[in-house]
Amino acid sequence: MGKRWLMAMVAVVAVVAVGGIGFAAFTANAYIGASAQAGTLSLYWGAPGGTMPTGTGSQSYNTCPAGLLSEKNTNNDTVTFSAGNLAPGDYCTFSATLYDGGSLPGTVTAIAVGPSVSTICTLSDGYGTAISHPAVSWGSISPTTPISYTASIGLEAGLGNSYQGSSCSFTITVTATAS
Amino acid sequence: MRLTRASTTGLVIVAVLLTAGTGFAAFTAQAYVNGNAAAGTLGPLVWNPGPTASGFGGGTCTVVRGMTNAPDDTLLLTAGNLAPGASCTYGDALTNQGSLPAAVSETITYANGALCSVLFYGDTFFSSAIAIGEGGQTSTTPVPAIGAHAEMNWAGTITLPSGTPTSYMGDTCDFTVTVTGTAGS
Repeated sequence: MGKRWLMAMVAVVAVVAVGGIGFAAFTANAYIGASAQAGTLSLYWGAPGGTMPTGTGSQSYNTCPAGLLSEKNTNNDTVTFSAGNLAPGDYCTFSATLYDGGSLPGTVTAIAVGPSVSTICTLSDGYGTAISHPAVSWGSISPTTPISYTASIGLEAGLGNSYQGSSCSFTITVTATAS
Repeated sequence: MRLTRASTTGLVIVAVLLTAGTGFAAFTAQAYVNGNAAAGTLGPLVWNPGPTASGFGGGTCTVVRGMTNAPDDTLLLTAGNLAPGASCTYGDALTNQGSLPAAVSETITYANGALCSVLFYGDTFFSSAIAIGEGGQTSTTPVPAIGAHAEMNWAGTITLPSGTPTSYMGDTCDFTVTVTGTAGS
């Protein structure tokens, strides 16, 4: 049995070696080498050589500091405007520049959330952004085309004495989208 | 000396044969068959001059010819600065410089980079674009054989799908597609 099996295997190997049935063929290759990289999109306020946030009061007694914070996702992704010592109808005007620090252009939208006391604060800017208002478009941004932003934050005119010393706070979330 | 009967008979036979010459000389002529077989050549498969690249959605798309094992056997594609929804489209022709027709298929033989998990590749062989992933996919779209000294048109795309998450920003994907031509069995 073993000898017969061995003979059969030898015969099969010999046939395959002689006939080359299906185990060899001519081949030739060509290649495609590819490299892809996703772009980047990032926003930040202010920049070396750019416009740093500034604030100016409508009255000499207003205090209108503005500054950059690094407290969220990346450096300088947050600008803080603070309007203080306001009388009814007073406001502070702030300016800052929004930069695209990535490689992709994007479209920018902004939505304001707040304030804690909704009836005493006013917000206006060149894009129609208002407190507690649906998102508005700030247009396009690119690595070479920043957005100049100016906003006025004030105290509603006609407020009574009960609002003395009160405050409001709100946050504007600016989102750039590349798609 | 006395010859036996057998010896005498043998001598007689030899004498007869020498005299008559039966069978030991004849006219002869030859004809011949010369056999010769030559194997054909398959390939090389080379990419034609002047490959094209164009972008949709702001991507930076380039293509040049290069060499892996033989001159111009490689097409080098780049798709840079891709935003979600952006794609690069490439075009060229592949020539079979051999004397045998080549049955062709494609396999993604190498893939590396985080972006590969979301990046799509499609071409004449992968008519339905596929996610590159870890590679290893072999084309299933029937493609006519490239005849001897003939060429086939080829087109390919690299796409970053819409909706790709922000977490892939700046990531890369390098991959290699091998086109294999076969003749015989």
